Amino acid sequence: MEYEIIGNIKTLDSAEVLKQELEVLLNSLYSGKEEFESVLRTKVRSSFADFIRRKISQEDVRIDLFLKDFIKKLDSVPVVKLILAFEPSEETVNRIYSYIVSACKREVFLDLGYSPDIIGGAIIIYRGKYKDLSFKYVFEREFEEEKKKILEFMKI
Amino acid sequence: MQIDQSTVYLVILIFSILIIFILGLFMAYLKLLRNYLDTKEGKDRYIDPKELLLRAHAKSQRILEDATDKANKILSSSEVFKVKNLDSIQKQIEKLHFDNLKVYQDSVSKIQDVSLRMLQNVPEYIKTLITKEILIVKDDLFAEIKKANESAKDLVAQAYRKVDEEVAEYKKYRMEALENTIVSIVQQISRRVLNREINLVEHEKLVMKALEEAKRQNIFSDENNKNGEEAVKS
Repeated sequence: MEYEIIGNIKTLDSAEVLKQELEVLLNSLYSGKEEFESVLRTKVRSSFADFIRRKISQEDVRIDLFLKDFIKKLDSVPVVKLILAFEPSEETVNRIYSYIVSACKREVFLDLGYSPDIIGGAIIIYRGKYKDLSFKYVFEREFEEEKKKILEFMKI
Repeated sequence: MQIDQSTVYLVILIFSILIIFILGLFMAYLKLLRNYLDTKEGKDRYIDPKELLLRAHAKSQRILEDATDKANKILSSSEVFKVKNLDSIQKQIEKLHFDNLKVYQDSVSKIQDVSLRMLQNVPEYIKTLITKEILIVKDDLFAEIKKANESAKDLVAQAYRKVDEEVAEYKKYRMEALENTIVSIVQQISRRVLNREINLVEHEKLVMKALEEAKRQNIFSDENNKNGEEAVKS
């Protein structure tokens, strides 16, 4: 699995960090092998550096082409934007991610936003589609429908 | 023997001139003679101025005397006339005065009678006239009062209607504002309560429910991407 590492990236922020590391490495290739090694040691996370070293060790791999393909692959992964009413824990993010991946039947990146105004639920934006499934939407709709009852109740 | 005609004319001319000359001399002689005689007679007719003065004085004296006499006569006759007629004049004046007084009194009494009659008739006439006028004015006045009353009633009714409408509109506006405020307050309170009461577990459950709903609505399917805009609207 060439890009198995992508499966470990769940959020868009993480994908952006990885993309920056790949671009730094690609640029350093043009400055010589020493510079590339230096960048690999100093500006890339160790787990990702090990992954790159394993790739270099394989004789049939051209590292520059691999890095370019990797960047292209990252860019092609669709993003699911979720606006939540709370800041989720890592475990919650994992659960959400798993559910969305199984629903989309492909790898995706989560772009998580935080807005307490929506009260609960989520607003989902995926590939140009927007769906407000927040509690705020339901809440306001219910309030509008129940406005008269509320007012009558207030009068009592 | 023939005589030249021009010679005859010349002779006639000379003869005429001679006759005129002789006549002129004769006239001059006569004039000279008259002057001489006048000069001679003038010495004999001269009158002394003193005598002329005396004559004039005497003449004026006579004129004065005559005038004085005539004046005296006139004065004496006027005195007599005065004495004779003074009484009658007095009587005449008194009579005239009496007559005038009588005429005046008669006139006054007549004027009084007429005035009294007129004054007695005036109230009746005025009364009739005024009553007639008052009746006309009264009718007009009643009509005007009625009209004004109706107009005032209409105006008041219109004003009331307008005020009622404005009050109703304002009341509606205020009620809507109040209702919105109440709903907004209730909403805010409810939201705060919900935000406080929903814990992380419940939040996660709500998110998972939302994702299930999205999945059910095919939000995550690529097939639906072609109709993305429709999905967005939903």
